[in-house]
Amino acid sequence: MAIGHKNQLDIRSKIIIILMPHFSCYDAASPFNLEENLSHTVHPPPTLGLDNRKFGIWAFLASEVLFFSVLIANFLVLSKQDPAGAFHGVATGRELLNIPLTALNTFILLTSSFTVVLALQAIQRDEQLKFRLALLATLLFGGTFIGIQAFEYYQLIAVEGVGMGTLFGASFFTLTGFHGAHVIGGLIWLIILLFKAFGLQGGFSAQDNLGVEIFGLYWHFVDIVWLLLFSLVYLI
Amino acid sequence: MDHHTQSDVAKTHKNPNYFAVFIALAVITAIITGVEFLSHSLAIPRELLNSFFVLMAVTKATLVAMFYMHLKQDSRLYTVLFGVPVMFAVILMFMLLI
Repeated sequence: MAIGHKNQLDIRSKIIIILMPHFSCYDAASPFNLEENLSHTVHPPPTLGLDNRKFGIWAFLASEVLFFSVLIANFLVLSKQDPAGAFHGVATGRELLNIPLTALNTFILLTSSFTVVLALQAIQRDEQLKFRLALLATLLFGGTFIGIQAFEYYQLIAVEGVGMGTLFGASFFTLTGFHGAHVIGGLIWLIILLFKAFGLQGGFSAQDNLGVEIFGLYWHFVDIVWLLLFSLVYLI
Repeated sequence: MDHHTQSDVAKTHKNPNYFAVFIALAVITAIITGVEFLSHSLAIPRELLNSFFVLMAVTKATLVAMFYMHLKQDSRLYTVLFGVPVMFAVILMFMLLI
């Protein structure tokens, strides 16, 4: 009877050991881990060795590449299709774009990307003051970028009379507007990071800075999109 | 169990010279803006100028992705994950621009 009971337990233990690795709560270091009670080894679930959050932001950015490439294609096809006389004094809407102002804005966004990598480098070295200053500088540059873009929109719409009624206007405002929305989204994210950086919710450290790195990836991507837009929309 | 991830491994690498990358990006931006302003006085075909602008934009984007986004030193899987849609986008742009 005693021998039969032992066999029954062994079978139940084997079933648990087969099923446990499929649940996220499985902990190989748990005192309830029955592996050591058996002679064979149970392998942990397969993994890429990458952080899920970082992999997730890269997958999101990959989808964003396709999103923006379609908007750029839309602009390249439509922006030159307006009939003659659609714009006052110029042949196409592109001639109304303010290139010096946009070049300045490009430089400002480039600088904001630089301050983000400085922030990441600072927190990896646990330099809290430098880290916070770099994040604040990013907020300043990002806000300035949006301010200049708003001024550019005002000039185009109120002064030059470019509206959504033209193909150039519709494709231009859709493309640059979605980019601007991404910058605004990044600024909101940055403000949340700043709250944490200044001690609310625990802060960041040399050991805990993945949140900064993930934000940086998003911000650099938005910068890359603008670098491409500057050439494809304003210069070509 | 070894809990070290690729990200942890990447952090042990020496960081690139971010300032040098920033200067390179700023200089390229200044050059393409200057070329655009001089394009009316220079007798360079517009197609050649456009190719130059696209090449410079791709160069800047590559610099940011490799050094600021750490694709050069991170796992190759991120490069593949990001690179596949970029390849599709490049094909699309190439077909529209030629």
